Amino acid sequence: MLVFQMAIVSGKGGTGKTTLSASFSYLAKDRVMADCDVDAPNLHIILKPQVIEKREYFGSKKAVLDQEKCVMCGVCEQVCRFDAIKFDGNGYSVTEYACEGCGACTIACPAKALQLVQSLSGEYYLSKTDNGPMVHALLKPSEETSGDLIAEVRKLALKGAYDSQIPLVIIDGAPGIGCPATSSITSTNYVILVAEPTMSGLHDLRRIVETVRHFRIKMGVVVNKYDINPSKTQEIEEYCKTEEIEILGKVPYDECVKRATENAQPVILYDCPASDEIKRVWENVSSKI
Amino acid sequence: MKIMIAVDQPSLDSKISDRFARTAYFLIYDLQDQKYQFINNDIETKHGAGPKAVQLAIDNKVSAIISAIPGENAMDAIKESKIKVYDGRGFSAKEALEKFKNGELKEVSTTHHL
Repeated sequence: MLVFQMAIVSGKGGTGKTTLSASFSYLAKDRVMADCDVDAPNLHIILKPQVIEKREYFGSKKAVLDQEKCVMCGVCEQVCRFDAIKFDGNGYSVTEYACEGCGACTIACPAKALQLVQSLSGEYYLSKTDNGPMVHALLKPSEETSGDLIAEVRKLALKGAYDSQIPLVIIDGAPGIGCPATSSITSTNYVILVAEPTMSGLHDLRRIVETVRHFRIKMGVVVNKYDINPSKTQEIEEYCKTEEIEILGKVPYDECVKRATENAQPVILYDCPASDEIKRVWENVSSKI
Repeated sequence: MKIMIAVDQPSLDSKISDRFARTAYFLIYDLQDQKYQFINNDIETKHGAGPKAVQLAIDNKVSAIISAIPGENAMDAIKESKIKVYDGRGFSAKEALEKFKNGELKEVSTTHHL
């Protein structure tokens, strides 16, 4: 069995990735959902997953000070470029959030009182939702290895798909064009770009298009709230035409989306113009699988 | 000529990994004597995986890499080497090697996009 992986991303945040993903998760008959926005996940708010399995994610290393061995010389405080080691009058201590795990203090310490230790950077979960498995994660504050955690989320989602014989993984991707975004899209079979008709919307769309191109993946664009700025929407359409990128659909601004979000429900459970268009986009997208 | 292939499992039947630098194993295959070995890609750090994997290829005197499309950092490093990259998405290591020998694999250009 082959598993088709589809990612929903956008250069700019807040364009409607999760709104679209949540609806797709209901429209797809057989799917595994993967929330890859591990820095600020919120697909779980709508899909209300029940956690089946929790896994710990060790992303980074941090310096840990053994107070017994510490000779209070203060060398560590001097060499730490991140001001992560401080003297409080009684002794030295490492501030977990400031430590970057560079290891300079472990080399400089004459008493070998400092060691780099794997630290818990977050958790990720295999869960079940009303209509299929879901994998999601939570990164701890100040952790920065989100791209790597996303790789773990996608691995677990793919395993879930193979284990349950589900041929489709839908990825609610991370915003931006950096590590978390590339980790969300690499080796997927299709990428959906959600764009909004604003100046930054188009600017960031161009950037994510370049990123997707790098990975040689087919893509299509959904313009969300297209009618709030018809001239920008037209600009997006012209850009897509020049770049030979398919416009999968244009979702209108709709108070109904706000209502659905407030009720933590997917839009497609409502009867409204935005819902109709999202269903049409889904039909279009599912023909690519 | 030696080839480096990013694979999920230490087996010639393994699927080519979805990732280049963060693959579980690298297969180093010598086309001359058909000898091969698997390298466990147990990357310690969470940063700089791309250039590190390319360094591994250089250290092993590899002329070609077969994998999923490497990320931008890996590509930048590859650009500086003489190594060529081939798109192995969807194949097993064995299939990819056959296709490579027959010149059927698509080269991933390091200079321009699609």
